[in-house]
Amino acid sequence: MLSRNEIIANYPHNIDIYKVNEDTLGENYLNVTLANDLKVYTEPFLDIKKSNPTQKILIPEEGLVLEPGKLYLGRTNEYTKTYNFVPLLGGIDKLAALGMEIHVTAGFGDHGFEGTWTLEIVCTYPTKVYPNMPIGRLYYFPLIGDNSIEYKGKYLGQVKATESRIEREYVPKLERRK
Amino acid sequence: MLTNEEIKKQMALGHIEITNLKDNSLDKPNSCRLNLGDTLYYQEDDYLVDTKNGYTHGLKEEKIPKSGFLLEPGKVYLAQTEQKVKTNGFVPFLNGKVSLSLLGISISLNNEYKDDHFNDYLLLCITCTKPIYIYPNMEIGNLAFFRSLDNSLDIGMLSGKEIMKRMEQGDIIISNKDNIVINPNSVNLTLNKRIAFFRDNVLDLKKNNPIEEVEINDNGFYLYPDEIYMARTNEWTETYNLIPVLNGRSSLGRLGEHVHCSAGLGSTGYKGYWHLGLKTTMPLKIYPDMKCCQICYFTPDGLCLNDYQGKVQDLSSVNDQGYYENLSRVLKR
Repeated sequence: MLSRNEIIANYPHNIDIYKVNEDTLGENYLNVTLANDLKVYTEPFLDIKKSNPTQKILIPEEGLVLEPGKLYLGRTNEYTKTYNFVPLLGGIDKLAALGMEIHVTAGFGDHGFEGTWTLEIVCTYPTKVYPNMPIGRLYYFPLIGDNSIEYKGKYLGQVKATESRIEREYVPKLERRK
Repeated sequence: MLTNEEIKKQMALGHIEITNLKDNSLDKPNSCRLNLGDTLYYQEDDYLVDTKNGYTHGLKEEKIPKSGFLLEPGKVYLAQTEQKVKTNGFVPFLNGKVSLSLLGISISLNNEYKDDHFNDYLLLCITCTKPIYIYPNMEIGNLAFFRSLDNSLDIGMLSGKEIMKRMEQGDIIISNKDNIVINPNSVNLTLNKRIAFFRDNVLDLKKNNPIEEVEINDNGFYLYPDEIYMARTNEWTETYNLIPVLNGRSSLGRLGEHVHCSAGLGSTGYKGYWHLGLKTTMPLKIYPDMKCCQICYFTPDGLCLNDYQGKVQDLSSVNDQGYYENLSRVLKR
């Protein structure tokens, strides 16, 4: 895992993040913050083969109470670009101790990914959150081997909180012919 | 990621210190076993918590009795590990156990990665999917280490092309390899059509928890939020001279689906299917053979012995009908 000095040495040509401020650089990671736009799925049942509609929610300055057990899609304020290293989004002790999960998958990103980080927020208790609060940390691992396969997937360049696009993997043959 | 030979070497050099080690703590190829401390802290009711001020109504403190403690879903239980860890030049990485993950117990909420110059017990944030009895002094997780790298860039995660190269060299074996998808730094594996879940409403770590198996088909199958589902990959894998780690997929994470409960870390030398503890936040329809997870590979930091002897590996001798029956029996303490 890259040390603090090595993250600095690779900025911004391999590890880029916007915006930075005096709090961004941590012990061996970059700090990221919560943007104020969230999304929730509107249908009570989800299906990986269908487009699952969402609705936007904004977190006001004075805070918003998130319901326990409900999935909220959020995102980082920070837009990152990572080449030749593997970025990893981790959570922070303070929020974990309050029962708040920010990422349902293990948080490993891809070499070549550009975008903000979509967060999958699930709380154990009714939890009051605020815009721009610290939400996670980005760690970096060296990429070993030929780097010619870069991320070119469904979420490249995402900015706002982005819902799943998995249904694009199941486009029926009839539509493809168009 | 450090092999256990390297962990031992760094302990001898004083760069890693771990207290309260048991006889078997360092017998796994790339991690140290962790035990649960004797006290749990939790909020008694569904009070509001504030990310600025923390718990608004305080926490109850309770020792885990020998007779067992019932964990309930909808709560997070804070605890410490028995082991205290000190590092200089290494980043600790906390991970759960597959045997607990398959029963719906998670020991962290994304707070797995710690800081270099760590000097503390490890904070456990324990949640469960179904009510389950746990017991004192139990093995609760595994601790791995990453070297904090200043300029040595030949230790890290394999790129997609490097994974393909290692598959040709035999360090990575994946059945059905011509049909799997290779990503920039991981491979996708697919979901086997047989899934199991627990029949009882309350589970117990010391008992055989009876299961029910289903075979899902192209009509799909709904996962529900208050169940934990045991599943496995179609692909049989073997990993040598590398450390595999199981992750979910972003597209499924965005739908609220977990593929394991804080327990993705694998071991060098592991042979078998990958066992998934599927957990969903909203009712979600899934299908057999879907790409359900990804495996990434870390290079070993230190002498690598490839001698994994785990309980949940190599269950190939069991026929398909009895697979989960056998697996669930292995989970009993």
